[in-house]
Amino acid sequence: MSWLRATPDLLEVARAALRENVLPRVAPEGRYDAAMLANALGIAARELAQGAAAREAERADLGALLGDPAASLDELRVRLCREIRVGSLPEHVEPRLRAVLLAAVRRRLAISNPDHLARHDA
Amino acid sequence: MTRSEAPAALAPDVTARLEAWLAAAVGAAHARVLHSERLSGGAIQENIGLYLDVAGGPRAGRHDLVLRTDAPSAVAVSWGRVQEFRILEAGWRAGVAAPEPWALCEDEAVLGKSFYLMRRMPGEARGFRLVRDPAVQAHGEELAAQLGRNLAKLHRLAPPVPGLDFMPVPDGPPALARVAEYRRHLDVLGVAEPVIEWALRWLELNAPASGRVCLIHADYRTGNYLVHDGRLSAVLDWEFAAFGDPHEDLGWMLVRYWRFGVDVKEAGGVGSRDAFLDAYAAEAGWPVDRDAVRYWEVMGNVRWAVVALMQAARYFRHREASLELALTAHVVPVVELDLLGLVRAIEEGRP
Repeated sequence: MSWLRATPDLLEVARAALRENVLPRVAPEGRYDAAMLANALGIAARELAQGAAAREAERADLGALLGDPAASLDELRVRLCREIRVGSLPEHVEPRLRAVLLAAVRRRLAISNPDHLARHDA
Repeated sequence: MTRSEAPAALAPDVTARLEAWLAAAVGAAHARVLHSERLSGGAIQENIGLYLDVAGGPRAGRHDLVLRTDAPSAVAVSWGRVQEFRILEAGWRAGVAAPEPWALCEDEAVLGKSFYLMRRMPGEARGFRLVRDPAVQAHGEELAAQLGRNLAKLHRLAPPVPGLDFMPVPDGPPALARVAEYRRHLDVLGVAEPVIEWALRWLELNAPASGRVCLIHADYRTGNYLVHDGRLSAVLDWEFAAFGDPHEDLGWMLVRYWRFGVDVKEAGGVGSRDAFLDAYAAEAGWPVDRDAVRYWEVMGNVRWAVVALMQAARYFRHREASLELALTAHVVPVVELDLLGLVRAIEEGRP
């Protein structure tokens, strides 16, 4: 493999350098922006590492729930939203629906804000 | 009082027109702007601090005021300054801690747009700083109680309220009107968000029947009030006020996001839920329906998720280059986790 490829590792290293070497020396008025930069680098790194798998897992879950395993994630989300809004899903599906929604949110949080997920589970 | 070294916020010719209008508006011999400065504002309004010398008339003396006008990018999602002034007057008359309204100018020849003047109040509004202020931490329970009592005073105003005849009175359950409004926002954004849709469906099926309708602030939360030395100084940002269900204001204050990281203090990151709600009930003189408060907490979380999506769209759709806007999309799953947990807790009868 090439060492020149952009990797999650590169973003992680950049984030660690920003937090440990740069942030402590940033003037107070710049700290909020610097913290946002570190946060954005972390999200991007985790998105590169986990994003595709998270979307495929959600697609598989929704495909099974709606009985359409070949549909794309976008199609399934649009269809699910429509069915939820008009109330056309059978009542017995509700527990499975909630479990599927929770699993998708947790996968999304593992990328967007893993610290919050850890605090929530603690 | 120290004055910033920033350049004056108003050009000399604008200042002259403002002084002439103001003198007439408050029955003074003359009024002089000693200092003006741009204050932090939102995308919707522009706030200018004015230090004034008024000669003659009932307002004679020196005054610290805020001039509030529409910003160039004003959008029609909230009341304009004329209506906001009427709302502020109604709240002020009801005894709510608010900046005293001074004068409204609808003559666009003065500044090119409508504006009003109100007293400049001391204190900190920025949520992240406020909840970490040692004085707030020392008096947090009392501050939460002040927020509750203050809100109860506002909620005494039921339609019709003098000066607010422009404001529609709901003709059905206010909760269902909100559900319809947030669905419209999602449709305009063109996003498919299953958790938010699921929560909206739950809110539709569990909407409380029409009850008490009163004037609500509709953005009563940490970040929109000033605290000075640990005490409530003034409630700001009245542009979303409406006639609605009083529990909407109570639930909104309890949404996690307004705790600015101090999660254990459920009332806006400053005090406990009980301190806020008990003081409210004592002042209001009617019992608070705790189930309705939790219902409106769910609604508040949906509202915040929808607002976050709208802010994210400004970055993703309209290429507004802001890291803060781009990152706002990432608060949505945090809110969604709360939505799923809140509904489960309500159904299982857990606190």
